[in-house]
Amino acid sequence: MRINYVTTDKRASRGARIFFAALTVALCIVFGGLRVCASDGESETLPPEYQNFIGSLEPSVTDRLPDGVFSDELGDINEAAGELASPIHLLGEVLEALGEGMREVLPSLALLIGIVIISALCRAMSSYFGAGLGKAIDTCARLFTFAAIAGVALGAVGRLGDYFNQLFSAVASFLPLSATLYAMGGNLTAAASSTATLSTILTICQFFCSYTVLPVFCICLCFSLLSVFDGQASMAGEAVCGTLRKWYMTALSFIMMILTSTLATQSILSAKADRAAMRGMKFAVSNFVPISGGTLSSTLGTLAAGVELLRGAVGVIGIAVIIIMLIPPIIQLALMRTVFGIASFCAGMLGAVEEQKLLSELGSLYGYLEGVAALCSAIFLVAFGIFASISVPIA
Amino acid sequence: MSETLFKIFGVAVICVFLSMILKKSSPDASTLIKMVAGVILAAACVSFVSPVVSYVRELCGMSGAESSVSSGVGVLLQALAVATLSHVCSSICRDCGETSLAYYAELGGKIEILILSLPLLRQIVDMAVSLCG
Repeated sequence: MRINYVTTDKRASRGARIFFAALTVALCIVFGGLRVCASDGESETLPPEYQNFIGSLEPSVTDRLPDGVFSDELGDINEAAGELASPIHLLGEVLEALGEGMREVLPSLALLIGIVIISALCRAMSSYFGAGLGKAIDTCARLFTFAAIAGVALGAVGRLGDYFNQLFSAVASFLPLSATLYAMGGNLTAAASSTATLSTILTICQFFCSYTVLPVFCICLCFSLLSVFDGQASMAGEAVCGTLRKWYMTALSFIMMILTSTLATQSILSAKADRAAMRGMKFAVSNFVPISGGTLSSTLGTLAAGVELLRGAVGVIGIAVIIIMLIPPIIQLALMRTVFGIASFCAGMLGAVEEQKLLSELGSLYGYLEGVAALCSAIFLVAFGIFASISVPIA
Repeated sequence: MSETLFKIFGVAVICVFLSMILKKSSPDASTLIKMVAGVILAAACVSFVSPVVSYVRELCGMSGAESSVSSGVGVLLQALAVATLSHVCSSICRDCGETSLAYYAELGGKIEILILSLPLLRQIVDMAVSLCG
């Protein structure tokens, strides 16, 4: 019996064709159901240094930040950054700090006026007791004025020290984040140079704020307090204090200007160098890598958009954090300066000349502290701004 | 208030007249009357001013002033009281013609006031040490 091999072979090949066709259809159904989306920047993975940076902030600062800052989604972070950058938000922060500051300084104003009144009364009564006893009462009243007013003056300085600690802690935790975000965008040279420069600036600012600001304030305070005891010594003290403050602020401003310009020039030059290097690499990839070179090049562009968005958002958040930390102490120093001015005016009305000079001098000392705080903050604001504005070279 | 004031004035005027009357016949009695009158009038003035002192203390407590300022006010009030007593005592001594005793009375008062000021000085020194530290 002859087996129809031809028929069997035809059936087998037809079955195989059907099998492979069915397999193809099944594979198309399976893979067609998957979402294939191009990277639009919203699925970028945040570096862990970002959460470390946010975690290093004090609760008094994080309570004032929008919820989007703490999110893992870039879209939420970008939205929060936009909210922080709005003038209405900043105005709200200023008004809130003003309200809190007024509540804190009004008792100090009442205390200062009370001290001035009591001191003026005692020194007026001392004239009734004769030369010796009157001088003793006068000395006691001066000591009381000295101790009480110095206590009120020094109480407000402690808050400035807390602000400097917060600022330096935030900037120190920002350094690894900036290096990571620079590297993600291809700014390898900028990552190294900017981090080193910012670290140097941080060290210098810490040195100035820890070892020079308070001693200069104390020297000026001592010379001011001399006016309570000796009217002639107060004239020499005023000259010394004024000269010392002017020289110190000039030196500090000059140093901050040098550091800021160094940071800016280094960042710009590094970014240009990185951009030149990346352009060469992209040209090589797109022209010499067959078939997928163009795809790779456009993929890099998409990645750069996401990194640039993240960098901009982080930069804006950093600027907002510094401003949120700076507003309360600056406003309190300004209010204390006003309080001492009002108390000085009241002392003048009561005829307490020494107290008037002392309070006026202390008010000007607060202006010196405001200047130091603003200078130290400005350099870091510029640093965050440069970080946010440097373009991504892989775009 | 007016009653106490008029009583003080009345006692002072009466004692002056008595002293003037007894000055020629009995100078010792005159001096004694002046001393007693001075002590009585000083005590009356202290009781006269005590409501003011208690009100100042009440104000310090109400305002919530720092303890250092409240203690400083207390030191000032004590210094004023010591100065008043020293002045009264030295005046009595001078009226009796004892200038040197008056000087020592004032000296004691001055030293006591400086001792009362020591806590204020200590507070200033502690503040300076904390700033340097």
